[in-house]
Amino acid sequence: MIKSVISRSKSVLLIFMGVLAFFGNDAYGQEDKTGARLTVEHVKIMNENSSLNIKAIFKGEEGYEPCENLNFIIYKINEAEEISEEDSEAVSEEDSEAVSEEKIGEVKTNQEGKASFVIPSQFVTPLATYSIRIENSDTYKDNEEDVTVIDANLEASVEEIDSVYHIKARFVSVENEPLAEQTLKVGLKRLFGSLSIGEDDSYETDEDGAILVPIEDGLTGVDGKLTFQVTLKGNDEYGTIIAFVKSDIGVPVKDESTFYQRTLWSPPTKTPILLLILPNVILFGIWGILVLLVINLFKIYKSKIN
Amino acid sequence: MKQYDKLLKDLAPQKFGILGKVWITFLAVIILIALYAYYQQFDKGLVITGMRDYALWGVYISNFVFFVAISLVGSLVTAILRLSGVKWATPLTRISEVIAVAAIMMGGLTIIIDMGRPDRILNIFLHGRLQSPIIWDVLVITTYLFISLLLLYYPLLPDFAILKKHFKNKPKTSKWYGKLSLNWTGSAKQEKIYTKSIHTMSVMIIPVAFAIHTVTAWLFATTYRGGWDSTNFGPYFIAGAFVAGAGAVVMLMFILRETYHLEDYITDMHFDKMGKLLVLLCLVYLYFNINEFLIPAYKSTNEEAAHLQGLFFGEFSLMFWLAIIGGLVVPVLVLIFRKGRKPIPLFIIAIIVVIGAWWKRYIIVTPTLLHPLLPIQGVPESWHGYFPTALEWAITFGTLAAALLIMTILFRYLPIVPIHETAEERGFLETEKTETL
Repeated sequence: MIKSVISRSKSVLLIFMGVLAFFGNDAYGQEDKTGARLTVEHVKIMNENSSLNIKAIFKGEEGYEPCENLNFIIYKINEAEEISEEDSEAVSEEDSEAVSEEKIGEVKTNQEGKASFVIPSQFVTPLATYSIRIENSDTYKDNEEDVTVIDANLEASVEEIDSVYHIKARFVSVENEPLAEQTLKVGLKRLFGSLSIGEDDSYETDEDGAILVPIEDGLTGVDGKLTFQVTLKGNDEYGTIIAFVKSDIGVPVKDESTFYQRTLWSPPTKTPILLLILPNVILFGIWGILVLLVINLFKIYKSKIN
Repeated sequence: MKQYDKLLKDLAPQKFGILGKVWITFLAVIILIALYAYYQQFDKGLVITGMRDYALWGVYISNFVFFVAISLVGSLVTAILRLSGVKWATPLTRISEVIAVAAIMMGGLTIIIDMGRPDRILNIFLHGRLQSPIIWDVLVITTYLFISLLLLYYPLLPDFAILKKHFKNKPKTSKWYGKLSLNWTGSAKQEKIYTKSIHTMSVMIIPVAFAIHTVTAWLFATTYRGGWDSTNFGPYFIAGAFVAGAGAVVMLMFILRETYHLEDYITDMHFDKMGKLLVLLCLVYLYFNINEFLIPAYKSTNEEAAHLQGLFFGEFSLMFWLAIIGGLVVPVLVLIFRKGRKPIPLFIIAIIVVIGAWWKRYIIVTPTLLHPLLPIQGVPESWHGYFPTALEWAITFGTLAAALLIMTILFRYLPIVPIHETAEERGFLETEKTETL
């Protein structure tokens, strides 16, 4: 009996030590890892997709540095009502707080510590909460950031009013209810960013959820094509929503390229004629004389008798 | 006849003494260290130098400009003085021609040393653009090297023939001098071709020499950088080159005269004349310096002001004032006095002039690069300044030692003072011909 108790105690001790060792190491490992700071932005591009733009940084020796190749697992959090609205009355209060989560994908950061995860359309709902997590990374501590967004729509178009082109935009809920007093930015898409349109930096929607911004004349674009951009930026409820509007109202860009001309900055095949002729004339002139001088050496060599 | 024999004995190449051998060994050691340093650079790249994104030209390019400057003396003494009918310069022509050849050879090599990928040098010729001053420089350096070699070789033809006879008791040496003399007999036809060719070269080398240093100046002046953006740069470089070259000639005149006892041929009169010439050249160069610094200082555009501040009062001020005062003002003040133009004081002044000229090139190249038009931001602290690394210095001193080695070897086998011309000027050839008849 005593032997059996001792033997059992030994087994328990071994298991305890093993568990301690396992979790102890794990705990030590977590402490040894680097903490990453996460920034997540929900971006909806109208008529295209919704995505989660993630940025991860850590405090390195030379200030904040990007977390490269850091894997994120994205979950969609489904609250109880959301799971089954019909049964919501039937469930107890305790149950209504219960949530379920569903993994919807993974994404890895680039060299700048940035990643963009396009949310599959089936997971885009009028109200959605996404959880972006670092799990079991070799380098970084486990961490998560949740984003909750209400879906909304931004409609934009170019309209001519009294011979002046305007950007007309309307911000509405998914039920097409106007969303007033929301700040929208209007810009013209350019290669490295957006050029502000109108006199103000941003415009507030009226009770119809609309804004009207005049477009100044003389905006240039390739073949007169312009892409305007209406943006709701970093809204607490709706996140970022961008609507692009394409139009042909720009002034066509005149091609002033000197690619086919002979210029000082052209490749060797397109050297300016004068620069081609003058140095070559001088060069061949001088080297011609030098060749004659070498020939003269042969003449001296051959003319010893005379 | 006795006079001619003495002249021949004095001016014929002599074997190295112990001092000569020590000198050669010393130069060889420096060159070997430089070769090791260059191997490091070839293996690891230009990262072993102090050059970075901003100071992308450093001591190598300064050294290159110095070599090109020094090489111009060939055209000054040989061509300009020859065409001006200055007879006293005859004993100095060979010295200046040898300096020109050695300097331009090492100048060309220095450009290759400055390349991060010297194995791609052929691309300059395959893909070079005639619009680029760098291509003009490559073309003009090659041309100048060739013409300098010809200008060294042509006047040697009669001397080689003389040496062939002189060394007849040494058949091997005599045979070599005979081959190099191209069967020179001094016949009327040979004399005619010879005189015409030398005259042609003397005329031709002047524009080529001006071109080589003007184009080198344009490498800088065709940019908009403070300190380089100047229409004065071509003549400014030429004037400076003549100062450096004349200083180098004086240095070699003194050393060779003392080493080979050439007091009868390189006399105090030559030092006196070269001293006067150096004063003139320093004054001309000072005039260009005033133009180069006074007007930008008066206008003081942002970039020029930053550049000049660095030169006049900043980190380069010591070098700048040493180069201007030590290398130009002091020589003028000393050399305007007859006693200052005696061999020893002139030799000391020449050393200062040459060192000043070298530093002048350094402060032409480097400070401008450290004052770019856009502010230096977001780069390591070490990129903000430039000073050559030990390996860079080793390579640079190696090129200088190589130039001196080329000169030493050439002076070992060539007459330092032209024998034929000197004998002709002193009327010894007529006497010899008469006595032979």
